Amino acid sequence: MSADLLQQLSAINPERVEDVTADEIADVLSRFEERRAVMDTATRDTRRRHEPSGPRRQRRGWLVAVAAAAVVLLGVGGVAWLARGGGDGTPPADDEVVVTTTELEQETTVTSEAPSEETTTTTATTSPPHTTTTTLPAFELPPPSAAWWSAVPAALETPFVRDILATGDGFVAATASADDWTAMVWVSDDGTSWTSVGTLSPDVAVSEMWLAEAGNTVVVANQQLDDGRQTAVVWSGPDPGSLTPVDTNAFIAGDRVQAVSRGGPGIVAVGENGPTTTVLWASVDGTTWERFSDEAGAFDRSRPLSIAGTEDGFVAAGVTIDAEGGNDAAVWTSRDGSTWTRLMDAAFGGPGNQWMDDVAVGGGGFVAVGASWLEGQGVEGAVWHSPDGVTWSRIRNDGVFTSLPPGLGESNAIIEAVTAAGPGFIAAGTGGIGDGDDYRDAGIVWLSSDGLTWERLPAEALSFSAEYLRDVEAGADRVLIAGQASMATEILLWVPER
Amino acid sequence: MASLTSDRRFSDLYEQHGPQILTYFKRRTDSETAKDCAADTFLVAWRRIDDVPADALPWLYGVARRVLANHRRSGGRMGRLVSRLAGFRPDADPDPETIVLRRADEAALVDAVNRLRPDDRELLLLARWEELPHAQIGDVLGCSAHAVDQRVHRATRRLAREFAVAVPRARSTTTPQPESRGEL
Repeated sequence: MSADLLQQLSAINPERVEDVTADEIADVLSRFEERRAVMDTATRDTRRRHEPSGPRRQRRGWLVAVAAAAVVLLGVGGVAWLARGGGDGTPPADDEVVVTTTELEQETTVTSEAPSEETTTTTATTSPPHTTTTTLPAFELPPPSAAWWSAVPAALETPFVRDILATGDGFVAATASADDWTAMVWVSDDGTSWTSVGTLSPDVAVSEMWLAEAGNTVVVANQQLDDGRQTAVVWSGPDPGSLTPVDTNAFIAGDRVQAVSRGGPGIVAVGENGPTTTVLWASVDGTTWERFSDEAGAFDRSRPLSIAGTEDGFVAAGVTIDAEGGNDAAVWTSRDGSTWTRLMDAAFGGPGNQWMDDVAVGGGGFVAVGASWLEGQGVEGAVWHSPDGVTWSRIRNDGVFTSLPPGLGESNAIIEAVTAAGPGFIAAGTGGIGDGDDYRDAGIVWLSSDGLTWERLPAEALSFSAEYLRDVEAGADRVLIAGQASMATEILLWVPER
Repeated sequence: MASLTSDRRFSDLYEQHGPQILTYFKRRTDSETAKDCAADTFLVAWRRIDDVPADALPWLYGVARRVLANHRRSGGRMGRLVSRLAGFRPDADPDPETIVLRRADEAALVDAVNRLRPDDRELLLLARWEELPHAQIGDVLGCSAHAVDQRVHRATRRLAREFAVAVPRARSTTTPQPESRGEL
């Protein structure tokens, strides 16, 4: 029977090599060339920023050879691609971004204490009293206008930006390499010019990554194992340029981290080992970790996707399976990171499916963002607000959490990231623009001055080519959004005027 | 500085293996995504042309596996939607999600393949769809040909078990067609 099965498996092969057409090969070459041009631009821009005298690597000759080979191999169908001109020899325009550096006008120092109530004996060992310095952005949001934002194309030489963290003196980015999926860390003073501080471990391929600061700079990543499973790996160091692997047995084969955050009690991570086992991790400084099980079953049939840390606890947001087998949003709270309570609120449910991708906390309370999906009606962004992390309401802004105003074509959106900026919030995601053959995915930005009332930036006015906005982060005096554009990461930057 | 030799080598690489790599992706995802992933795979080859071994196809398939995994993890909007919605149903794995089979037993076989562990699934598909010899599969997956022999044997047994479970379910949800094939 097994041999028959394998023969049947061969028989249901849906595609055959000989069925590939010349047009398809030409299309792939065209897409390859677009990526190569972006990569070339990224390399050139990076060298211009950091190695002004470095020679530019030229590799245009291959293009003619490949095109000729494609034509010989596949016939005249590939000629259409040749007519488009091939390689991009046009030097890019100089960076048009003018960054106005302003002094930080407000800095708030928050002194946090250990949780007042210890729910488990392990809490004391993972959450000793310590002091946290939190810098809150001082600026307020302007009226929605694309004019406030400028784009830095190909700011990072990889499209796989996983997390960006604002530090006291700039930003840190964690990425996976476009070549071999190794973990890389980048630093920037201004969000415009980025410098790689190197590959963390040359033999470790990573998928998701998170950054945290707790005295040390900490990187947590899911590592791809050769057998198809994952585990988690941690690097830590006094600064982004001095990260070394953390030797810990808190992470084992099969672990997959789903969210990481730093709060007053320390760094917490939530994840799973297999589809039904939730695992929690906690660390004071990123160098020593403890592993916990979800003994209360707070995460049963659920998955947290983001955690927001405050000076005295954590709020996690994600998704759960509802009574009908669909998905509802879900929120959990924890004082110490090891013991969690799931909140039950009608605001998390409703017709169809909904989930929370990201949660942020700031002067305006908590905001969670995600999407809702109703069979036959497409996907639209979803936003929830809470003044205290415990009581939540769904924000209903018809026509705002989509990609286009009503009546202007197919409109949908997923909101993937949110950050607090002073009393307001900035969210980013992806939506569809246009109809029919002109339909495309586009990065979308939403703004709120209080978390309750939201407006969408007119996407068509943004000078931003990234289709997928991955992360948004507010620094001391500026906000940046990281987006995936072909084979590089674009940064969308807003520096408030003073 | 890139040399004419490396340019020629890349040209030869694409000429010889471009259709195979595109087909690899077309078997596992939609046509547009397949083209994007094929372009990404050859971009890696272009950047690392000096690292590409003489027997390049397994190396390219290895890159292709990671390109597709990354695309499914962080790629298009609908891909994320599908993976997210599927993420809470431990029995469901949408790969290869674009395969649409209407006949119950074929659907059951696809279901059984999808329920395999990712490495088992890839192992069998590389053997039966890409028709790679076990030694080359070992190059793709980073193990010996002997290890591939053993893993194919075990994966096939798992496939048979999953198929036995999947057939009744598929037949209860799919209207059998007169020309349905396959034996129980």
